Amino acid sequence: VRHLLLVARALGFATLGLLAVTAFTPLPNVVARRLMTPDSPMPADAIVALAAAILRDGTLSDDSIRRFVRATELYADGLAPLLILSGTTPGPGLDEGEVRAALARRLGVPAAAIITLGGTHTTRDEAVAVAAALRPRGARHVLVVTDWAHAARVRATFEQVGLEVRVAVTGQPADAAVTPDRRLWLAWECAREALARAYYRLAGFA
Amino acid sequence: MTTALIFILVGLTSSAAWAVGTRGLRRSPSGLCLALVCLIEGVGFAAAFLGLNLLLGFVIVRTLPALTERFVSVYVLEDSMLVIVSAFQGFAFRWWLDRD
Repeated sequence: VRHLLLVARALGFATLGLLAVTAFTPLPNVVARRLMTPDSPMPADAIVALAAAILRDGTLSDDSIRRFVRATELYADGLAPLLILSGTTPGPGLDEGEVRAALARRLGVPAAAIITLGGTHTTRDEAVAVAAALRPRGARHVLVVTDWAHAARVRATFEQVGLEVRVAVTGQPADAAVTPDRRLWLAWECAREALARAYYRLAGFA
Repeated sequence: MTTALIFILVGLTSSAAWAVGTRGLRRSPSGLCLALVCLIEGVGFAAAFLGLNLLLGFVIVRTLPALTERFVSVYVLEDSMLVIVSAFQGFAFRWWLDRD
């Protein structure tokens, strides 16, 4: 028991130290800035708004809205003739891709320019589905819209399936996170994405 | 501003607790040191439980589709309740070591 308590004490000190440094210093901001992929919107064959989530009441999650709005803006700027809207389908009647497509049509995007991809669960699934949707059109240049932390893994995963990738990112939290809870959340996002990248490399997805 | 306010609030309530503990309840300062060590050990156990919960959760989430053909996203592990429950586990385990 004594040895166990000594180990717990060391782990407790380390945890509290890490918590203090993360919450009360700009360390998470510095790490996030290093992890960030630069926003590089360029003309492409298609703009892809990656899926995030749809809530049980049928509304899009904040991330989903942000990605959709950025992708629609880029389409309106004329960066690509196609808008691919990926989406999760967590239950009957809940289809993120279809909700986004309906919103895009209301905002003036022609139905013929919209492709929806449903039932994709992971970034890898989305890369495979986008490549399959574009192959018959002979298209392979994509401009993928996702959030800042996800962007590097997205680029590597989409390149792995043979696509030429540019990434447009949403959010700049490295500079915006200035309160302790926002810094903790930022640190968590950095840690989570670092683990996800390691997993994707290990699995051969990126 | 937020950081300063947090430190001021914690400083004020801790000073009040110190006054109540030492004068009203006649507790010794050394007892507080032991309590703080106990707190640190509890945090250590909580961190260990959180790590184990996340690891086990990841294995379950990745294995589930193969067994049930139902996809569960790894993002379910981001629920902040997991941190709270892990803290409960850690502190309960620490106190258990004192009781037996």
